[in-house]
Amino acid sequence: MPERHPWLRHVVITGGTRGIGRSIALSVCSSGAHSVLLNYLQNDEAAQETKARCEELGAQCVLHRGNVGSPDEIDRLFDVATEQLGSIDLLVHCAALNSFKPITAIKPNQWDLTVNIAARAFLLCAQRCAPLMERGSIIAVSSLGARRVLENYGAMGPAKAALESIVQYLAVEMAPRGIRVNGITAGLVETESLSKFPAAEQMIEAAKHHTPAGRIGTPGDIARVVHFLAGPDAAWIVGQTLVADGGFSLR
Amino acid sequence: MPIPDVEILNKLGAIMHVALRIPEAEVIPDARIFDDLGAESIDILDIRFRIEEAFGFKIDEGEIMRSIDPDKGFEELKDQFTIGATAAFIRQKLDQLEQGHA
Repeated sequence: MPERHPWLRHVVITGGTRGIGRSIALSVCSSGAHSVLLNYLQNDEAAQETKARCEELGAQCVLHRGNVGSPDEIDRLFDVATEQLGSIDLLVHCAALNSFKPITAIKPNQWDLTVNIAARAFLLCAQRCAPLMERGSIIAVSSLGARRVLENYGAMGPAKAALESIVQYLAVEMAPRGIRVNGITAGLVETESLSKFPAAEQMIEAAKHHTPAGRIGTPGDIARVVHFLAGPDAAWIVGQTLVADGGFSLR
Repeated sequence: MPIPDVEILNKLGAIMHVALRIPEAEVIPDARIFDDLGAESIDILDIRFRIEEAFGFKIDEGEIMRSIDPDKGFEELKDQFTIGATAAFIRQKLDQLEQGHA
């Protein structure tokens, strides 16, 4: 039986069945989470596979399929959380949808879709989550595009910048209630969605060359930072977005 | 009471107008969603979510395309992915819901 950490008993993860979200789900289950509620947008097969892995690790896993860009869907997600989990110790927002275009070519509906899922959903999830938390941690997964201009990251970069700002505002309002809100700025991470970038292979090679650590990140790299931020060793970290990029942004 | 086909087309017209910023008058059954209405791949997701909300059912990844021909791939079906085909898909889903199969 894995060691049970009281700050990880009941966990909600948006975008929790693939890539970084999946890795976080497996990490918290390995650390003894009682139950995880994993939201996902599509791909039932991947969701079922992640659920099975979580259950093998001894956790109850509840799946919720829905677009968190919709406030109604967020209400449904947290209705499920209330019913199935009762309380929440950790919320991680990983859900994101990118149009992989330059900003000058972004259309209004594409902007709305990207910003609503990456940024507004985090705000609305945190608002719905807080009443279910006695104490706890809320973590947003951001990316370097929030702080640097990345090619074909036109809507997502500004959306992630908004996300990092929301982290600060929520942190100030929620800290007195014992809820710590933080973020992670991830560098390039090897996930399925990376392959959707135009010229993905060249981009990965260039990033490896540019990164002092000599490789790009793995979902596990980010999951370990989530584990740290959610735990008592990070008790004095409030409203920060930590950069986890192997040193990419240093040069 | 089943939703009439004309209402499905009207709702689709409103969805396309909002998502793609095109006049509803251009949203005719023969209009190809990519080539005639100018949709890009991310727009298809947006349109899919709007259809889900408007009609109250979930749509699987690629389900609309598969309803046109389950044996053909995206490129082969691109020209057949029309407003009419999408309306027929919605009709089929609503009928299944009505019969309790969806």
